[in-house]
This record gives sequence, structure tokens and C-alpha cells, in this order.
Amino acid sequence: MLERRKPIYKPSNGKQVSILFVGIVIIAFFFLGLRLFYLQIIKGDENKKLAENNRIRLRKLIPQRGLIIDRHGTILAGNIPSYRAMIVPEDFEHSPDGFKLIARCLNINVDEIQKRLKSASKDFPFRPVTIKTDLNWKEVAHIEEERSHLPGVQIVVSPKRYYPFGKTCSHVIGYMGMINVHELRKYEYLGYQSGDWLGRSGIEASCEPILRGKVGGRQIEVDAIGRELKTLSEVLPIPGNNVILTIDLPLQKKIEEIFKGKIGAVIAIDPRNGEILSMVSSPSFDPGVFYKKISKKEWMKLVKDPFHPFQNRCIMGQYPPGSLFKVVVAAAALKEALITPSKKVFCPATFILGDQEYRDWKEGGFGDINLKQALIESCDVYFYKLGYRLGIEKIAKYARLFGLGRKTGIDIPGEKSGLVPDKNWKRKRFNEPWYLGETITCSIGQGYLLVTPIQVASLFSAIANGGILYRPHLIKRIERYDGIITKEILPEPLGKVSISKENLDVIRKALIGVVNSPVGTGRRCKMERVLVGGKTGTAQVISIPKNKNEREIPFKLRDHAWFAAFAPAENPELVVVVLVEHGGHGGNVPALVAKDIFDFYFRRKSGEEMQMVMFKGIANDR
Amino acid sequence: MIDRRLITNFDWPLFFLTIILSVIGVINLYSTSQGVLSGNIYVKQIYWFIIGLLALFLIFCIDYRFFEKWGYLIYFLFFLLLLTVFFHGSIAYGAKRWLKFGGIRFQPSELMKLAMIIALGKYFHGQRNDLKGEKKDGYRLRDLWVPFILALIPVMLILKQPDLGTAIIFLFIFISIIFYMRIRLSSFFILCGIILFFVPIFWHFLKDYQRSRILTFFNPSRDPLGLGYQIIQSKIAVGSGGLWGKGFLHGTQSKLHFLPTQHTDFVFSVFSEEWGLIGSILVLILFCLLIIWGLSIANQSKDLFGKVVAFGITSMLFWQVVINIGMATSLLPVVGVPLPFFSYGGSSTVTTLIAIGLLINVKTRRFIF
Repeated sequence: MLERRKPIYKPSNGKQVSILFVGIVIIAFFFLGLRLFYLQIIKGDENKKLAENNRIRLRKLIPQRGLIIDRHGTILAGNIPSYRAMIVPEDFEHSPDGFKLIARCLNINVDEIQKRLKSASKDFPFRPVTIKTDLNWKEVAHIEEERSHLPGVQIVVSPKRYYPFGKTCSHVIGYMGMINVHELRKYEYLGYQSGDWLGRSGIEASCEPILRGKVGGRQIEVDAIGRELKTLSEVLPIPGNNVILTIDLPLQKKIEEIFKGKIGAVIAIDPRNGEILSMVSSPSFDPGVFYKKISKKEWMKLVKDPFHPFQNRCIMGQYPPGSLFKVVVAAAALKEALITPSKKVFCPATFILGDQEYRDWKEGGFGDINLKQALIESCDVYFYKLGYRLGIEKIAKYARLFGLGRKTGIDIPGEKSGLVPDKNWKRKRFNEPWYLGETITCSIGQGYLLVTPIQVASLFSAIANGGILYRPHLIKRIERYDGIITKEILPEPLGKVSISKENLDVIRKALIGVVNSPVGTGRRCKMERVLVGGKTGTAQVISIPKNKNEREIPFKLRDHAWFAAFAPAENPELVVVVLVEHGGHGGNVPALVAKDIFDFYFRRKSGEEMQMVMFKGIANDR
Repeated sequence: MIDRRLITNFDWPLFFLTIILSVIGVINLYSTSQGVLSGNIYVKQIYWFIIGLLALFLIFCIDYRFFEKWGYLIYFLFFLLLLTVFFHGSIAYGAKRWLKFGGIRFQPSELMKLAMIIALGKYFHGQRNDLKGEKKDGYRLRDLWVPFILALIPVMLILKQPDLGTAIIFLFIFISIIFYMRIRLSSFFILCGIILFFVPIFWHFLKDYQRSRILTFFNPSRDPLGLGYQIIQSKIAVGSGGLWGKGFLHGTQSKLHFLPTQHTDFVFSVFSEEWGLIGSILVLILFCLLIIWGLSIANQSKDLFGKVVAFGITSMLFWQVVINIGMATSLLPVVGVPLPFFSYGGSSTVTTLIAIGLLINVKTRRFIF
């Protein structure tokens, strides 16, 4: 037992204290009793009447979802009204005639109505049950005509998402889906109800809180057959905010047209501020498909498509950069003063390390060449040698400096970070040491190295604009439903690549040579009026014997082809990155695609300028 | 071990009061589960009641000075449980309040109330020892920083869940106890000032949707579909009961599911609708008796720990009853506070019965030393 303790505290005024508290308690309960008396006796009859024919109903008022608009003001995602027929089970007359009548009005059979009513929760007899969605005008009119014979039947209008351009730009816009049970329980989705839609990918998802708006509600009194008599109280819904994108719809459409039938990704970005003008991932999908009733077979076809149409390859596709990476290695070597632009290096057909032989793509090698020539003709041995001297840690350092190996922070969800390997990573991942040979393959962008097209776009933007890494972004500004701008997205520099202006100039000049020299790997992109600079890349899917014809290789094993370019080279305002999966060599298909894009862009621009000149001319004449 | 005096001095009136209220509570829950709401929550409630009774007897058998000896440790253990909720709690109804053991969900914040009362009792008992009755005109604020922290920790953690109702109960228990310990009136007003000062700071840390939830608590017209609707329907339910009520199982408001959360926060509305003013006043009288009885236990106890514990528990029951019934009759804003013995819920039922066990414990041992 515990030790005995003497009573220490003897309240001098214990009695008074307890009388005070007892008094407080009795007064509190007296007030509760008084309140009950007031509600149950004085207001009793009134409340009884209210309870007997409790005809207060709640109606949710769904707000218009914010629009998604391109930079020129064209609506990419909007709303159209959709009519649905609903039944309040408690008010509905469950007779065979009633069922028949409504079935005739809606062109459905009685069984389906009964099935829907049965599936509804018995807990909420006053909660309307949806019988048919997307009614046409005829069906709506029919119901309205028979109104008096259909107690408890309502026609509810709610906005439905509508994508006027179908498959165009779908990876940027994203799609919507119904909220699931798991999400309903989370904080973030407080205020959502089952059956609500929310953005699942793209801007629809990343801007969900902005686009959604605020649900309103109305308490209404109804009569015996469920007709609305009067509104008791109402909170109007607030429409969602509109999101204006940096997307340039005509350019986007043009690129999609050019890229039709190919698999891969194209990005057009403004290197001066990180605004993405176009983002194309192919194959694409129609976001409206989620609103239609599609058969299970069709759905499975979409989901199981081997080319994954829902994947946004621009931010989720991770590929070896191939020879694009030579740009990073070149910048690193210049910065580390391992070479000078004019110094010539002897490049035979192979680079030998221990008992390993590393081949150049060109049989016979290049002989004595400098950095510029090595980039123009994409000499492998030159970069094997540079990579060997730099070592993997330095290569990784500069790759990261250019934003590789981490997410760019683009404003749509699902971005992948790519991979920049180094010794530490390999030890953690495979518990193995780093081999020198891996440094060699890495220095021409093969091996473990992985990049996403958006990272490449960001990298080439930095080279084009003098070394600033901007966060690539798709949102230009956000406007309230009445047009007041609530947020303007300004260019956000994530960092400056610490490569001197002279060194970047050397690289830029070499990249101009890639396109404009007769021996350049990107010569197919050469344009007459605009000076283009760029770099080709070929990402190995598997190692292929040299002498094999490309057409003999199965499609799935063919190399991925890259081309990244900027123009006009003197003062770049557009960077284009093209990736064609299994497209062979970067100098072929991707370079031609990029050329068509530049052609469209600059032709349109000069057209606009011409018009401006003409307008000015007219104005001056007057 | 069990002293004979424990049996002869057992507080039978309090025990019977408890049983009567619990039985009425279960019968009322039976009525709520007869409506369109499927499920047999009243059966589960009976299980919880039995578990609670066992806990009551267990607590009764342990000399309450044992709880004093380990007071801070008990507090610390429940604090750890609350922290676990904070990091790993299971989420339901948009809040993170529960811990899962097997299939059973458990709400540590309920038992934390008792842990806080015990810790406060231990603290004040020790204090009087040192002060030797010097503080005739009551405590000053600077003497109270330890109890203040003891109360503030759970309040912050619970507000974060978010569970405004329980946090308010914690605060009210704390204020009642320091009032009971005789705080200087000037110090009390300063304390109120400090609490008011903390409100905006905490507000700052809340996320938008949490703020909107709390605002709706105070202003139901912000949310005419949710709370505003509940309040009207609850008022209609209570009022339509009239003098004699609609009779057991004949409440229309609850049966037709006009009344949301009728088995937890609005359970009294169901009772009022079916049993009318007569039944409601009877229950009010029973609660009133229980609370005055608790106050007398505090008064009779010979040591300060027993006094604080008995008073703290009584104030807990008082505030829960007043706030819950005030809510159901729309006298007070809707904050989720369960009605002892009536509301469905394992944690709150067991906690209430353990609290009664502690009260009986203090009462019975008043002669032993």
C-alpha cells in the first residue's frame, strides 16, 4: 500500500465554493430546460407541422468549372449544359403506370429505372437518384409535359466538361475522372461528394482547386409532388477561375499535324522565359472520352494500348540523350580548361580502354579535329577522350548544372526526374563500383543516363539564352470568371549555368554548324531565311551490329531519334525539341520535323509583321 | 487487498445513476438504429458499455493515490498516443482522430482528458505542499505556467486533428479547475487574454479548408447544405416532440433521416422527439443530480488530489452535457461534442465510465485516510 499522507489542504471556505458551483450548474440546466420548454411547448405546434410534412429539400448548385484557354484566347476546355433526369425516391409514386410513363419519356426500359432506384442508398430517401444523363431536348420536353403525372421527377441542369479540339493538346489539358472512395476521406477533398468530378491529369489536375469554383446550395420548400414552392435560403455557386496557358494553339495544331503517325514527343518553348508554346505527345487521346459511356472493350483497348496514349512523353518519358549530351560534355571540358576551341585531337575509328574497344559511328574515324568539328559531325571518339579525362563525377556535376537528373518543376503533375548516374548512385543502386567503361558510354549520352524531353528543352533554352535555366511552364496567368487577373506567372529563373559567355558562344557556333555545314548531322534542318542551331542525338535501345540495315531491325528495337534546335541563332526566341521513338537517326525524321515547325513559326511571324507594316502604311497614308 | 470499508462505503447512488443513464442511452440508440440507417450500433454500444463497466471496477479497485504517484507518466503515455495519432492516425470524416488496433478504432483524445485531470491534480497537490497555504488570495498567473503547459499541449494537438469540440472541452476543464483552485480574478482575465491571443496564431497555421470548416461551425449559414440544414432539422426534431413526445420508435425526423449524425452529436434530438419535454427534463434532472453529486464528492474528499480529480471529472461531464444539449437545441454553435452515456462511440463511452470509476474511487476512500 502507499504511504499514508496527512490531509494537507483544508479549504477554509469549502462550503461557499461548492455552493457557488452548484448554483452555476443549476442555473445552466435551468436554461437548457427553459429552451426545451420554448421549443417543445411554445413553438411545439409549429415544429410539429414542419416535421409532419417536412418538405425542405436541399439542392446543390454546381459552379461552372473554370475555362482552360490558350495564349490567343481560344477555349481549349469549356463547359456545356447537360440535362439529367432524377427521381426523389420518397416523393416518387412507385406504381407500374408511373414507371411506364417515365420510361416512355426517356426512351429507356422500366427495368433500368427500377435497378437504378434499388441501387440508391436507402439511408437517404430524399436524395435524388440519377435515372438518365445527357438528355436531349425531346426527352426534356416530354418530361416537362407530363410534369403533373410525375411526382418526384426532376430535370437537373449541370455543366459538363467539353473539349472542343478533341485530341489536340490533350496531354497538357489533362482529363477528369470521378472522385473515388479513398479520396473522399482525405482532407484535400473536403467538400467533395461522391459522384463529383475532378481533374486527373494535366492542367485539369494541377489547377483543380483553381478551376473548381465553389459549390452553392439552396434550401427549398416543395409541395406534395415535389414541385419547388419557394426558396428558403440560397448561396450562389462561385464559378472557378480561368487558366490561360502559354500554349499557342495554331502552332500546337500544326506540330500535331506534322507529327501525325509518329510516336514520341515535341516541345516548342520560348527560351527567353520558359513559356511552353507547344507540347505534343504522340499517340494522343480524346479527354472527352471519359464523359461518354464507352464499352469495356473500348476502354481496355485504350488502357492496354502498347503505345500508352495517356502517357505524356514530354515529361514522363525517360530516354538516353544520346549525342545531345555531347553539348554538356563540351561545356564541361571548356569550363574545366581541358581543351581550347582550336585545339585538334586525333580521333581514330576506335577508342581503346584496357581490352575494351569503343567504336565511332563513322567507320575510319575523323582524324585530327577540333571541338567545333567534333560537335558538327558528332564524333564519338573525341568525346570518349574528353569523358575519360573529365571522369564521371565531373560529368555528373555539369549534367546537374544544366538541370538534368531532377524535375524541372513544370506545372503539370507526373513529371519524372530522369537519371544522372555517378559513383555514389551506382553503389546505392547496384552495390557495385563504377567502371571506367561506363564513363566512356556516358560521355556520348548512352548507358544509365536518362533525360526527359522537357529537361532537354530546358537545357537547350539555357544554351540559347546565355545560361539561364527557367522553370518551364504552361500557365501564363489566372483570371477570375469576371476577367480580373488574380495571378500572373512571371519567368522564374531556377539558376544560372556557370559557363562563361565565350564558352557558350563556342558551343552555339558549333551547333549552328551542325545545321548549316554540309557535313553537319543536322543539315536537313537548314533553312534559307532563318539561321538555326541544333544537335542531333540517337538513343540506343539495344546495341546493334554496325553493318545491319535499319529496316531489318524490328520496330521496337530501333533507336530513338532526338533533335534539339534553337532559332534564330543570333537571338533565339524558339527552342524545339523533337523525340521520335524508334525513329532511327536524329538527323533524319526529327530534323525534318523541326524544320517544318520553324518554317511555320517564322513564316507566320513575318506574315504578322507584314500586316503590321501594311497597317502602318495605311495609317501613314491618311 | 480489498478493504471491507470499500464495499460498505461504495457509492451506490452514483453507480445506479450511471446505470440508469446508460440504459436510457442504449435504448435511445436502439431507436436511432431502427430508422433508415441500417446497422446495429446499439449492440456495439452494449459491448462498449460492458467493457466500460469492467474498466470502471478495475479503476475503482486501484487506490487513486496510485494514479497520483504515476500521474505524469500516465499523462506522458497518452501524450505519446496523441502524437501517434498526429503522425499515423487513421482518417475518417475528413479528420485524423483515431488509432487503429486490429479492427477497432480508438480515439486517444478522449482518455487524454482524464490524463490531463490527473496530472493537474498531482501538480496542485504538490503545490499546496510547498506553499503551506500562503496563497490565501488565490494563484497568480506566474504560479500557473506548469498547468498551463499541461493543458496547452493536448489542446494544440487536438485542434490540429482537427477536433474543435474536444479541444474546447479540454480548455473548459482546465479553466474550471484553476477557477476551483482559486485563481485571482485579475489573473483569470489575463489568462483569457492570453488564450484569445493564441487563437489568431493557431488560425494562421490552419489550411484554408480547415479554416472554412471552423468558420462554418460558428456561422452555419456559410454552409446551408451541411450544418445549417442540420441545425434547422434538429430544432424541428426537438420541437415536434411536444410535451409527451411522439413515443418510442415513432420519431419521424430521425426515422426519415432528416437528422444527420443522429447517433452521435444529435442523439439528444432523437430522444427529445420521441420522449417530449417530460422525458427530456427527466434526463436533464438525472444529469444535474450526477453533476451535483460529483461536486459533493470533490467537497468531501480529504486530499487535494482527490478534490481536483473529482472536480475535474465533474466539470468534464458538465461541459459535455451543456454543450451537446445546447447544440441540439441550437442555443450554442455546433461543435462536435458527444453526450455522455447517449452518443454512440467506444472511446467516449469507456472514458465516461472510467471517469465515474474514478469519482466512486475518490468518494469511497474518503474515510480511509
